[in-house]
Amino acid sequence: MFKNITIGQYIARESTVHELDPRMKIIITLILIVGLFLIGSFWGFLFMAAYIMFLIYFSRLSLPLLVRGLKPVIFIILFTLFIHILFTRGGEVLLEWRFIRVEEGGLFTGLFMATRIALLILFTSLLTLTTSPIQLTDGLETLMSPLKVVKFPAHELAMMMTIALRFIPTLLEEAEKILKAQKARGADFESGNLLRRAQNLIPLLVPLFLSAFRRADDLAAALEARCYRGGVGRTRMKELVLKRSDWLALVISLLVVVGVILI
Amino acid sequence: MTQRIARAGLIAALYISITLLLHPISFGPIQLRVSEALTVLPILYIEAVPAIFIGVLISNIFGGLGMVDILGGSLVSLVAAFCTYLLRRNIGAYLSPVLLNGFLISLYLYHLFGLPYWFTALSITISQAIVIFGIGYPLISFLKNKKEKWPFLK
Repeated sequence: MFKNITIGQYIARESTVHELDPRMKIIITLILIVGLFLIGSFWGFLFMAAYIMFLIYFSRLSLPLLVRGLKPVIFIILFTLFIHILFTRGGEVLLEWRFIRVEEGGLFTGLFMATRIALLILFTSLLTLTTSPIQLTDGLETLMSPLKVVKFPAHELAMMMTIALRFIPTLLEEAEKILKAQKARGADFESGNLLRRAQNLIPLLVPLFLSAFRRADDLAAALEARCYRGGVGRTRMKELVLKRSDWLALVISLLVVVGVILI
Repeated sequence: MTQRIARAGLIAALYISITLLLHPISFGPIQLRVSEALTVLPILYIEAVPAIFIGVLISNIFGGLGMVDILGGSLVSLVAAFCTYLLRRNIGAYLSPVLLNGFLISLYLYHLFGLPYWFTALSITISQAIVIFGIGYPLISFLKNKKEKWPFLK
């Protein structure tokens, strides 16, 4: 039942995009996303699409793989498209049949929004596909570290993220076991109205919750036994270093974004 | 401190696992995210505040609605969780994740998808209320009962 969830989605390859510094990849993704929101025409989207093809080529991933990532959100994309087609008004009437009325403005806005969502998702999945969760949290920790000056707990947050990522598969496995055990005892997870169904999940959630708390207790004991005392004075096996290729990637992405906004 | 970090990590993992477990209904303008029941945990544990933030952040990375949802969703949840912590002695603790999520998440979903604002706000508020009062509330009463008996819950 849970086998189809690809956690972390990270796919290890030896490629230019994989080897970029995680900090730079996060910054570049942010810039590209801001760009997507400032684009005013379909030409801009076309160039962005071309740019993502270029990035996919250099990350040695396949296009079908990324497109498959769109599957879980296809419903939302289509929903957005249809809502706009049916309810947004403006321009010429393209189709009129009984109470259904499609106008040019609606079709245009619908396609525009749908393209934007699809591109947003493609850029974000490219980041998670080419950067391992550990690299991502490392990158986030260093990006947040200037905030340590104002006593922002950058290390603690990164540590929590690493722990969270480590325990997702464990808890999912546990959830599957509890689900089976409770079903064997006659628990019903599939019938009733929405509120009833939500409440029926309690026999699954409470044991899962308690087991997570127990694990946290053990983990804390294990950390302390190994003399963990926070980020102060901790060294790393792999230090992050910005290379020339990182700066080059930043400059190219900036140029692309400025270009598509000016179109 | 170590205890709190470890527990926050596990609460975040719990949030993400439950979201992924029930993923077809966890994302988008019409959603029922059962993991949101955990947003009332700051009533008992302060470390749940960053935990919820991280939970939403990572869940939304998997959710695939992109960076706006990732940053927007997690920041709104952070604010809501903090309000829950501040209001932990009264009913406001339960209302903050219902109302803040309902009105703020829909604000950016509205900009992202261009969907009618009130429709999204209403749909999210209702689903949050179902989860928080249907599961979150009983969960907190259960924990309050057991907290003294079981040392790992302290």
